[in-house]
Amino acid sequence: MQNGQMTNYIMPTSADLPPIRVYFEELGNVHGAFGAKGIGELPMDGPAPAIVNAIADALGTPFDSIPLLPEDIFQTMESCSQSPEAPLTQGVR
Amino acid sequence: MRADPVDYELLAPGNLPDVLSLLAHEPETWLPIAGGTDLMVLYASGRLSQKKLVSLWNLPELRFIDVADDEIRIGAGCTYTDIRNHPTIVHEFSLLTTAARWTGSIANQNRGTLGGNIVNASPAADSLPALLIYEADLILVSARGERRVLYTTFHTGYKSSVLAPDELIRAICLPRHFANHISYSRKVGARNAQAISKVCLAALGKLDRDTVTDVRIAIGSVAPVPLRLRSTEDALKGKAIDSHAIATARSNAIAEIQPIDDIRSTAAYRAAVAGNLVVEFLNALRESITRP
Amino acid sequence: MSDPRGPREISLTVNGQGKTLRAYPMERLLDVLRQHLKLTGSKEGCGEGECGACAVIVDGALVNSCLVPVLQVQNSTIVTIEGMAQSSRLSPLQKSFLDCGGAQCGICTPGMILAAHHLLSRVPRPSPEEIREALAGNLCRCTGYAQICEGVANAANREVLG
Repeated sequence: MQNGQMTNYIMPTSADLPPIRVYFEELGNVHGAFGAKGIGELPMDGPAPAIVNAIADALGTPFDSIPLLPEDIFQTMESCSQSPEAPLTQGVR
Repeated sequence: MRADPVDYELLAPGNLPDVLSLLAHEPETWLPIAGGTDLMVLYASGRLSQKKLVSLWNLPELRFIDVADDEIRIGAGCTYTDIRNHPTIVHEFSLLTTAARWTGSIANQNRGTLGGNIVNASPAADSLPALLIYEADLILVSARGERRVLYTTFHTGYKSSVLAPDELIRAICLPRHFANHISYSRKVGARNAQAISKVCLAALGKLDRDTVTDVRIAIGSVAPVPLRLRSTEDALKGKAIDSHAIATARSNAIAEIQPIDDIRSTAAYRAAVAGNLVVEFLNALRESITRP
Repeated sequence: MSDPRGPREISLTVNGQGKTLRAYPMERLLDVLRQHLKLTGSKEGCGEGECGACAVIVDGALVNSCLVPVLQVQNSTIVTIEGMAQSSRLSPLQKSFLDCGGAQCGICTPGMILAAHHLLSRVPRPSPEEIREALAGNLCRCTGYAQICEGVANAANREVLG
């Protein structure tokens, strides 16, 4: 197992809490009665790509994989600064 | 839980002389355990090979803080919470209270001890750079008596020290010289709490106008033991704190450290961050010139 | 001295009641609470002191009970989550957690309540930063912490207002 101890399974603590604003975008579900859709335990596929896109936008450098660690960002930025023509698709750990 | 309590013994004599007597009469048999925040993790994972332990928890001879005119003595059995709460440490040794605040969680700060942090000697230990900066002395004690050693001579390599098999750390002594220094510390980890550091820097500086009269920089997680960046410090002393000096300090610091790739980070990242933290410290020092 | 390898008599005060039991010195306080005393509110989330699900209050201090050998709490006073409510009446803090939606699966909740109680007993009007720091040793996978922190802040305000 890659991270078999809680000390290496790094999940956010309350001290890592960013401001979270919740908006409900209400589009009816065609399959549900009166447009109803279950709201509990949805797959959370959206946040990771959104965050990676935000980092890419902020740095002007494409990233396309997760986990995207500071070390990966650093390595990519170093490569880009050394060789502007080098392939930009990095960040795989 | 991968250990069976039936296989282990734990004695709690409740006073230091009896503990020391046990360590002297049955050498290399009894493993001292204080708050247990390191050893109990090993134990629960089935990796604690020593089966006999002796408790140092809450021994009055080890859990005290004495303030004298010239130095403060912190008993090795003091918890991080004890350290965070003591007014003299808060006012004069902020690098140590900051390190205590970084360590684990509130629950772990209530049990983990400074002596345990030193003896466990993780290269990433939060409080050790502060002890290097403050030029701590350690009082070591055994049934044979006491001796006082410079903390800078305590660690002899990765997880090895000058502590004899029958010895304990009794106290950590810090000289009260630092109330007027500018202090800086920063820990870089994977998250804002409960993180083992990727890089951890503690520093003090003193200026006369724009000239560096004293500078101390210590860093953790970039070598087998916590390091004082002596070459970097020497190159700064007596110099004007300008852009050139700061840029040189960055290069010197990166040259002095030996970071590795491990589960937490990479050597390259650690080196870059270490350099950045040194620069951030020196910029803070430079900015203090313009502030009253 | 009795056989050092055998179980020892351990006396504790737990949730205001005196308890005497026999346990091996290196039994973890967490296991003694759950198995000897059947107080299963404290949970083993990690066994490493990293998650806070096992947190209890020993002699007034929040600790991770998975890291405490029971011999070291001989004669100590212990408060577990079971001691937080007065008979069937929830404490203001517990009510506030309910009102603010501070629990989903509930596995972190006992430790969270005790960590919050530990904070409020020292800092009656904590700032948001103080609340986050006080709870940073209690991991939650469900809530994202926002409603838990609200629950603590809300309880602090209520207790001040009476």
